[in-house]
Amino acid sequence: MANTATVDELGHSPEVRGKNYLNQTAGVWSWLTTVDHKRIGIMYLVSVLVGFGLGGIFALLVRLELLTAKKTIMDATQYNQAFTLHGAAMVFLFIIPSIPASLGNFFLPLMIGAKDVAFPRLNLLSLYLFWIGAIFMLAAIVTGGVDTGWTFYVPYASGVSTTSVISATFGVFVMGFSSILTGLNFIVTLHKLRAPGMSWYRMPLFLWSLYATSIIQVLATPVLGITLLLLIFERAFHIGIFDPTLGGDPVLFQHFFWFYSHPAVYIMILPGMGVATEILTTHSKRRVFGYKAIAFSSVAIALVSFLVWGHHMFVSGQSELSSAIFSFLTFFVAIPSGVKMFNWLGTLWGGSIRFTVPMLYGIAFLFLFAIGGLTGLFLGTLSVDLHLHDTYFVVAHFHYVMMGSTAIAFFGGLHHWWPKMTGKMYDEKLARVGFALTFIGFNWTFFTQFILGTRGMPRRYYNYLDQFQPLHAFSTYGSWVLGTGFLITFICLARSLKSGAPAPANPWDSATLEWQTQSPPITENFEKAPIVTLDAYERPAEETA
Amino acid sequence: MSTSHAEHDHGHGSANGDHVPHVLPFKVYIATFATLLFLTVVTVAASYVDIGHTGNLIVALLIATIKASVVALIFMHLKWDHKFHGIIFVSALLFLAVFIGITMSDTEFRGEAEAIEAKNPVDLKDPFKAQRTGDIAIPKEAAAPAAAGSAAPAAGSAAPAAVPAKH
Ligand code: HEM
Ligand SMILES: [Cu+2]
Repeated sequence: MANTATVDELGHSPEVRGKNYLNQTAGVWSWLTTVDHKRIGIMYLVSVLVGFGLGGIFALLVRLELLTAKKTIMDATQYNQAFTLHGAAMVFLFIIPSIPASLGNFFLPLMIGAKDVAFPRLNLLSLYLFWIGAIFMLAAIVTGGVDTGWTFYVPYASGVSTTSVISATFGVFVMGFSSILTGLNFIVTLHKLRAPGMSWYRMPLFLWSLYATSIIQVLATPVLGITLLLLIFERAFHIGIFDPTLGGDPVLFQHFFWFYSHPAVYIMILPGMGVATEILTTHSKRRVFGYKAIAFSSVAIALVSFLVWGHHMFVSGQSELSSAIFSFLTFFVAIPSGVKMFNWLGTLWGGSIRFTVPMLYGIAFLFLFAIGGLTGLFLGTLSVDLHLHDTYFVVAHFHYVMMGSTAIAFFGGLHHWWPKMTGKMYDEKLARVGFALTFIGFNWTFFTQFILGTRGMPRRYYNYLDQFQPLHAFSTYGSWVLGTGFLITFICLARSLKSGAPAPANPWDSATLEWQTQSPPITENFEKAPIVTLDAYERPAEETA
Repeated sequence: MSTSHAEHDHGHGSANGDHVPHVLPFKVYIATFATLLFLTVVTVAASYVDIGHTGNLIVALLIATIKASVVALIFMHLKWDHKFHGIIFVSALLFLAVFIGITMSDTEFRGEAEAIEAKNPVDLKDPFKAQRTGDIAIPKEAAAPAAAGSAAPAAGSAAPAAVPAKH
């Protein structure tokens, strides 16, 4: 397995040369009925990018409204809808499916030397379920919007709100099944379809992170499903479960919701950590330091993530005993996260770091995740959270982890694997400009919000005290820089599709298996089923010598 | 979930996992079904015998557990399946126990601080005073400046107080 092989050196027979998964068959129908994991991955990619665009528009609207302390562009009810739809679109349409369903779908089989996932049709079904769920959510937007916040807290969501809560929650319910099917498919694929010689410890670490993610998806998502179903029943048929006026317990809803949604934040971050690992090792030309530590810390995070949900409920009226237990357990999450952090730094240490575009995203990830993760510990500290809960500090925290870490890793991964997926190189200069504006705009927007939060600015408020106005305005300006950064990134990638130079098989000189086939890959992935003789990230002997 | 039937051993533990479908005699299914029906009758009957709230609860849960085990072992074939699948099944139960167990650490102990606060009411004009009586962490000299400085945090707590408006 030479690392720098060009298309012809890969030993493809003449019949295969020039053919790939994109041009094998043509037409919309051939895409809609495909069971090729690569095409499904691409369709997921387009879908989540649309979700990201939609969420982004709402985000800019919310920031614009907050430019002034009183009404700027919309009234209070519209504002409630705008932040709800921003959150719901970003969480359910973008970030949860983002890395696993697009990049994961595309690369998981390639990285283990398989032809496809274990259940290709189930894979397509999961995409259709995702679309159906998305249609319900879009229907909710058109038929009156939603104003409950992405968390759908009761009794507001089950009894008071007059908006299309049922349509939105049902959409999320359906998308949950899509998520479960993807997770199930990945678990079985990793167990059953690894190429000969590809032992668990030879797998790229991205796959370990996807494995851990899949476990959470399969275990936790059903709980979200039942929660939303109960909410729908309560709203539609007035069965008392959560609403106190019907004899229910509203805090119970929060237990149900966060029992899913805290693990779900690891559905979001773990794949991002996996992508970051691949980027950091490839673009520093160094084997991952502490392979097993990173692999098992992913699994550890997945397990611990099920024990800390109550840290979202410190002021909900849950018992003091519970709060103390949850605060205590929350600190355990820091251990595997820290293990990863230091192993990433260890990987970079002494490597020959190349500041390629993916690497810029990779390093930004390290920086932003450190801030996001550590502020999580502030919030996990019971006495501190009593003050910070429901302030902009929380908003800044989760944007540092969701946007600053996961979304940044996603775009880093997109730039890393773009040549493989599309067969095209992009304009490095323009991509750098896009990255720089994104990075600066992001910190500009959200670091400001840490300050706002510690000064007591509550989240989800339409009007606010005049004293917060300068910082709010500052944050809003940052959001424009951020938006411009993303716009440039999209233009850059879109342009490469049209006019990009053809990509070689292995432009980054990576050691993992997905680069050992042509760009873009043939439908069958590899012409000859690969046999793995090297450890993870190991290069052939003559090269390391 | 050990394999009691020697003749079933083949085909189930094979590493490449080609699963040979396991066929049970029809009689076994009927017998299982009858057992489940019978246990349902027992459940109903037991509810007429008053052995106290907890007693009845334990009996009902016990019967339900037996029924669930019969379904899992025989109808779902776990008895003859990979041990690994048994582990998965049991860990699902553990998982449920974690969810319910930790949630009960809330529902069973709610509002305990209220009683303590009622005994030790907070003086709104000097909110840190009442706490200080029970607070060993604050040294005596530091107590006076702390009271003076407490005005700011007290005002700041107006924001969390507005929280329910969001829900
Ligand atoms: C390093 C470990 C982390 C810890 C200890 C932590 C801790 C916390 C705590 C205690 C809160 C509740 C704050 C409050 O509402 O008062 C919170 C909120 C939140 N965290 Fe984290 N967090 C961590 C990582 C993450 C990650 C990786 C993500 C997502 C990728 C994330 C997403 C969120 C979100 C979305 C919220 C706000 C939910 C809402 O109320 O809308 N967190 N975090
Ligand atoms: Cu959490």
